[in-house]
Amino acid sequence: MLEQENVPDLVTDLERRIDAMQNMGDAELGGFTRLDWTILILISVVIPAIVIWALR
Amino acid sequence: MSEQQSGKSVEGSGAFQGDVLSTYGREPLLPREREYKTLSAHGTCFAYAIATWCFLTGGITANYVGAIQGMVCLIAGNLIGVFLVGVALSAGCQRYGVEQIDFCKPAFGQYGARVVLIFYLLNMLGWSGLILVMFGNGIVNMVKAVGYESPEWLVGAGVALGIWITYIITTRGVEQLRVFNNIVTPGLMITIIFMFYMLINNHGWDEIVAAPALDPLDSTWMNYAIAVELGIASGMSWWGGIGFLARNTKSRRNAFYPPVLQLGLAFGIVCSMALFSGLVVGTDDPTMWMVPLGGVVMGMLALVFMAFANITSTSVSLFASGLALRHIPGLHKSTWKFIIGLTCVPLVFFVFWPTELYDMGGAFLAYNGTMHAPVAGILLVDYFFLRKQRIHLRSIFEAAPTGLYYYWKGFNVLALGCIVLGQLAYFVVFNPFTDDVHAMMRFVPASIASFGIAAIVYWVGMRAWIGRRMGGLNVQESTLPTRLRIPNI
Repeated sequence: MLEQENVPDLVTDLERRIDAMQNMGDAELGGFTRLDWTILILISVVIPAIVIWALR
Repeated sequence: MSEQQSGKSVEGSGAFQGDVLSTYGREPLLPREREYKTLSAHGTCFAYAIATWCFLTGGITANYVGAIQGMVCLIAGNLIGVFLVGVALSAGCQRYGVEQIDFCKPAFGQYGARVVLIFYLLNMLGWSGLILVMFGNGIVNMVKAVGYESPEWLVGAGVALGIWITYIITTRGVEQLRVFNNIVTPGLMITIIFMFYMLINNHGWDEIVAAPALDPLDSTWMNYAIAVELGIASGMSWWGGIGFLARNTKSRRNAFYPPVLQLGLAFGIVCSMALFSGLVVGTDDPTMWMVPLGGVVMGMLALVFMAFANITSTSVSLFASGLALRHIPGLHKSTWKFIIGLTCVPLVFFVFWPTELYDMGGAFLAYNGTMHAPVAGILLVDYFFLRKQRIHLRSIFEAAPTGLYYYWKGFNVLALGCIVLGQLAYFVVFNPFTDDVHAMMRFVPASIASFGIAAIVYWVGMRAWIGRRMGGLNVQESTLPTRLRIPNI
């Protein structure tokens, strides 16, 4: 949130950005496959939980 | 800085420069304006992670458990905490280019998101206060190291000095902070490696592993359960940083992996080194480790550097707090100096009661879990399961009562109620102020209980009740206005 000396310009710019982001396809923002989800969940939930449980 | 903050058009025809927006503004960032690719995303996360809060977290954990259990709790707990708070933010803030408080609006309402803002500020200012006391303690230990007695008021005076220096640095702008960070991050790495070398050299791994916890409770399982909770809660305290980073990344992978690997794994490893130092030296105050570990000369140098690093960490926190305060309508047009001055006001308590507040560091660390766990549960359910990763971006910036995310007078009472419920669940399982632990915590950490209960109740409530009438779950995008009525920017 900027100091708004020029609010109409800011709103016009905001509208332009909203349209651009809303209409953009997911693929334009990079892929994230099932393999990524599997790796992420393994390293950040499954393995840590097992290690914590094993050391109880 | 003043020109950047003025928000003037810098490209003409109403367009605004990306780096100005990413630093100071709330508008959605377009992919071409985002700063972080793979290396820079990892580098920035690493620089966030390697700061003096590692020493605090490791030191506090040393009160409850020994080296091996503590290391597991810090690394594994941090990984879990970062993932749970980060998954919805990484996906949503990266997809739509919005910052974290705006991302909360579909779930909490146009004004309800400000409740989350309060949690965020409490987190930031709490850390700042604790680190400033560490700065004050550092001055005291330097005085003692050269053979003088230190008066009682010196810690508070150190905190006051720290506030003043931090104010000067923060009001000079983000460039100054970047310069400081570029010196502090590698310097802290050297300090940590040096400490670890001295630890192994002087004490050996066997002594580290055998060192008992500093101030444990009577029950072994309770100590372990609290240490797990501290690990998860410290991971969850990265909530704000993850949203900021994700908004600035070009690809989805860079929004997900760096937080987990740097804020989770690397942070946990560095905290563990601080834990070892605390166990061997026998105190949870990081400023008391340096001289015993490094000798007078190297210890003094390390203390001076720690003081420098503490100021930088506090400046980063105050900077983030200042940006967050821009969400409050009365502060839209305030000067940056006034806003930073405002963030310094709560820190004055640490000048007068430094020791009392510092001793509550463990409770504060766990309290991060009560603040962020239910918020994270609600956001995860809202973004992935209710909205299927589709939000109406225009409605986030629409303050008119007809807006999709307006709910009741701007508040989604269900989401806010779920925060209260999540916090109650947390306190039933674990009271961080009294260290009362429920038997349930043997199986479920308090922050996981808080996360789960808030998520489930929110999901049921939205499906069965509120989501049928408001919140935009059953609205066709084509029927919505294509222009903002009352822009909230």
